[in-house]
Amino acid sequence: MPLSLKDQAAIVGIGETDYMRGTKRTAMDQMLEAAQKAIADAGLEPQDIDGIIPPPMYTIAEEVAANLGIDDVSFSTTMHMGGASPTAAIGAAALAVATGMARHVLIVLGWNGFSAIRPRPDAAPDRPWGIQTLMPMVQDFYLPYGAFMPVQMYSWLAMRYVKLYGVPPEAAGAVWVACNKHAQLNERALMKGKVVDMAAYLNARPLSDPMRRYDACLETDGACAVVISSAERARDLAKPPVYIMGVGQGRPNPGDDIAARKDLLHIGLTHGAPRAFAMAGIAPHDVDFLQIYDCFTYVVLLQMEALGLCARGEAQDFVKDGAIERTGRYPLNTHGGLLCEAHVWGMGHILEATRQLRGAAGATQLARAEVGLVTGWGDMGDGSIAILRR
Amino acid sequence: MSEIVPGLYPSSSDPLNRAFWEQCQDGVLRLQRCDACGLFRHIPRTTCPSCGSHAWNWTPVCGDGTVFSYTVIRENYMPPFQGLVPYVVAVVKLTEGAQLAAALLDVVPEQVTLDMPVKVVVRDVQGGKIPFFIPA
Ligand SMILES: [Zn+2]
Repeated sequence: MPLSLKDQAAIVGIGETDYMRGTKRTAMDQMLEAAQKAIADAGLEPQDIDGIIPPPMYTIAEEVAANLGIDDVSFSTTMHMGGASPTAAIGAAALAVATGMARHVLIVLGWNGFSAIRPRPDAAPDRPWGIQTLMPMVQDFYLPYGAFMPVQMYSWLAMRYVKLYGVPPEAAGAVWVACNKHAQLNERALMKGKVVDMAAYLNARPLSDPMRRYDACLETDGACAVVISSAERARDLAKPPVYIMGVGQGRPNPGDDIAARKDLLHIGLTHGAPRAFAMAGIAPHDVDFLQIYDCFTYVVLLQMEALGLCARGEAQDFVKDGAIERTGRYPLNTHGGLLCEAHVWGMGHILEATRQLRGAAGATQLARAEVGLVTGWGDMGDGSIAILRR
Repeated sequence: MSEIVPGLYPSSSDPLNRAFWEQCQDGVLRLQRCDACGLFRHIPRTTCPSCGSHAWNWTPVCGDGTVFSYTVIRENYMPPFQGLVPYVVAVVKLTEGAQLAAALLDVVPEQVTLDMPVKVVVRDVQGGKIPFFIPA
């Protein structure tokens, strides 16, 4: 019988900066603020942290440790899965604390996704990002035809999906509307106060068929952090532990080229989700809420099917009639998601799930929040999942 | 002056990728074909994902295929694509089985469908020649 990670680790601290569209602060400055807040939220001191999972391409554990005054780092790794990295990092952190390689692991991520990625004349200087392994591939084989933005590449997935299963735009619109409604309850959300209903969604300008303006998420400046400890240590800390029941990750085949895939709808989560549910010992329908990575609305529909919440092609029915709104059976992205709260690579999803399961979500708190799931999606469809409980 | 088409010759730093584009310059589309098992593959790989062989050759394909998926790009701020919207970029499934991304020419975006038959044409773009597909 192999060892099981189930319930061996817990999220014990969370922290975040304000989310902005326009900042003079470096991403590093914001990440350190989020990290300090997460450590304090757990009732820990920086010196208690001995594991660090920094984001890909920007900083390293040694730099984070030096800034925070941590003198002994026994564990570090970095997940290279784009936006699927943070949720995949939960699994890596759980492994480290469950086996004793580390006592308390800090996961931190931040960026100036608004101010630094596109050239802006008023942007403050920041260091360039390192080479991402997928970029040369995109530059060599998609860019020659003017298809290099995620919205363009992911539209190959979305178009085949829409045409094969007759998916109406209202299905993706239901994802947008749920996130937009939920953001109205969230003081941190960039779309709070900006109500965009189904009619406005359908009338928005097209970007790359079938994607429209509101199928795409918010470029954001901001940072978040999470601290993960062993279940045993978590019980002695400041906040109610949020236990990690199951984790999983997966990649499409091939993971580094969408065009070569024989089945465009076979995504990373198709592999990762069954592994996580098997570890957790529950079924997809047992969860109280869904924090699904929503860089684009259509990507949410694909993930609902990969999660096993509904059969392939049937997400269009699953999202109907308010089922994914907070009054429905499967509330989706109760903070507003990447679409309407902020885009910090899905860290916001982990933080919101933690708040919900602590019963500390404030205005977005659900009446029933015992078990929930978080997914990550990144690069060309890599997937990660964490199933969490109170 | 040739017709303006949505394409750009890539300046690749990867030798294998660069070779793919260089061997299109005589107007013929060739893909890697495994010497051991005959599998055509794309994007270029060092080894055959089916049999593991390191031996391969650039081999001409017949150039016929079908549209496996596509998108109509309606917004793009990067030259030379900026002035060419809307244009269609498809995933084409070749008769040989390999699949590749390429723009479709001579099509009305609204009339493109899945499984539509297409054939390759190699056209001049800024920096060199690259393959496109047109309705068959
Ligand atoms: Zn072979």
